[in-house]
Amino acid sequence: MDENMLNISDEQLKNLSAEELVDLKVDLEELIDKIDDLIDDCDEIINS
Amino acid sequence: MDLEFNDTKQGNLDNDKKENTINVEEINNNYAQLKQKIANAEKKFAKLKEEANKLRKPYYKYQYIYASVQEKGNEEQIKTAQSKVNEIKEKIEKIKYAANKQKEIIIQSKNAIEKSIEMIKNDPQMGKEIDEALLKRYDRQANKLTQEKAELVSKKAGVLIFKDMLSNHPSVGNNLRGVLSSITEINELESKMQENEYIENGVTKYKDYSVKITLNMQYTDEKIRLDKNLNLLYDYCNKNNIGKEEVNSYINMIGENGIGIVEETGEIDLEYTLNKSINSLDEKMNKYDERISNYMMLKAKKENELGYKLEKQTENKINNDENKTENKINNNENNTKKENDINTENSLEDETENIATYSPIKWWQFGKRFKNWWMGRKQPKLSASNISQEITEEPKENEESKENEEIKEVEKTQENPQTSKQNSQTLSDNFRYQIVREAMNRKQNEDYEYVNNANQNKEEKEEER
Repeated sequence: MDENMLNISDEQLKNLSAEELVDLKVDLEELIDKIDDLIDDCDEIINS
Repeated sequence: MDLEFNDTKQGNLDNDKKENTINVEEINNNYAQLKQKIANAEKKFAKLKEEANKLRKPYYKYQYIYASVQEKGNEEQIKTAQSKVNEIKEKIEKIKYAANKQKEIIIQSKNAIEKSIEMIKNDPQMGKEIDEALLKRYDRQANKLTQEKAELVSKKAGVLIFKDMLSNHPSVGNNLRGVLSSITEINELESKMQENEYIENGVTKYKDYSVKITLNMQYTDEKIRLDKNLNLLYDYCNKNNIGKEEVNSYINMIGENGIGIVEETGEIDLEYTLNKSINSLDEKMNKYDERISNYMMLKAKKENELGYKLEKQTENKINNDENKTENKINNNENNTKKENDINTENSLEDETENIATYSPIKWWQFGKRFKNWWMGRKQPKLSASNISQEITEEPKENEESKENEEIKEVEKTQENPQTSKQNSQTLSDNFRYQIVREAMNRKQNEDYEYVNNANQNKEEKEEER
């Protein structure tokens, strides 16, 4: 997997509107939740 | 000269326009690019999750083999089983490591966005815009997660229906065991077939052709066995208004969380397997509850800051739809109770058929439908002696006529001692007779007073004489 796949720099955020920033923030929060689910699944398999 | 000047000015303006358009394009591209990056990341994580879940079954299988071989097998068998378990465990650990690393990078990106948002918020007008945007987005997330949770609720309801079917019809259990073991076998055969194949110059070739033939035959046999068991399962579920697609989704879900095996017999332990699925669904639903309440809290906070509440359009829509079908289901149940004979049983088939006449039912209402059916089964059946419902449902009449009717009924039952015994059995009947007793006492007192008054009048008249 490409390690720096989702590295967002300050430059990229410079000219974004309020709505766009909020949209991206919530999308990333959702993605973090999905990653947590994946990690929990892995733990569940290993520890069962 | 002026013309030249004008030309150059126009030329400059054109260049400025071009630069501006490029900037706007860049801005639009930036946002679009970032959205695309996030979408790609989501797809990749979904694939990783699928890979991890695929490793679940073989991991449980080799764990079981390792456990059973430790008692009975030789050292070599123990070593191979152990190495298989460790191999799969390593793959899962790698997935987990990659996920954790990417999570750190994403958290950094999120912090960068939050920093930008804080800077913008220094301007109060922009701050208000940000808060409004956050409010809408939190509301959308809460609704989205609620819908996703409802899918899990209906899946759980499906598993519970399976569990119930198994207890009522053991043959269904055999079919389900057959399906699950066939699916596991087919997956293993597919991976063995893949290991035996390789591609040379665009042509598929086989390491061992005889192995290919053996595997193909086993695959075909297993497919036939799977289809046979599936068709029997579909037929039975169809009678209970559970379609093929629903059955397939429940089977996939049951298989996902691992299949338990009875140690002594090597048979699939259905109760353990189904309970595992139910527990896993419960854990997922708890997570959803946490996240939904988190977003609702954030939403409430923003509403407080902004000083107004967001219109709950989507929530109301979902609630209205749910209420409509719930009312329909409840009305339908009342009608069926009135129509049916008092002593006949309420069978699952009757109820599901009646509910089915009010289709189409939304997928998120499946859980409530199941719950209503389950509660209906647990309620005591109507019998001849349970007349309290009739009393509560009677329209209001004159008290006297009501009392007279009750007294007549009491007199009838006194003539028929058997019915009086039946009637005295329930609490509601005792209560009913209390009302009747009180009415009778009242009438007796009235008669007594009438007689007393009559006697008094008589005495007075005699005295006058």
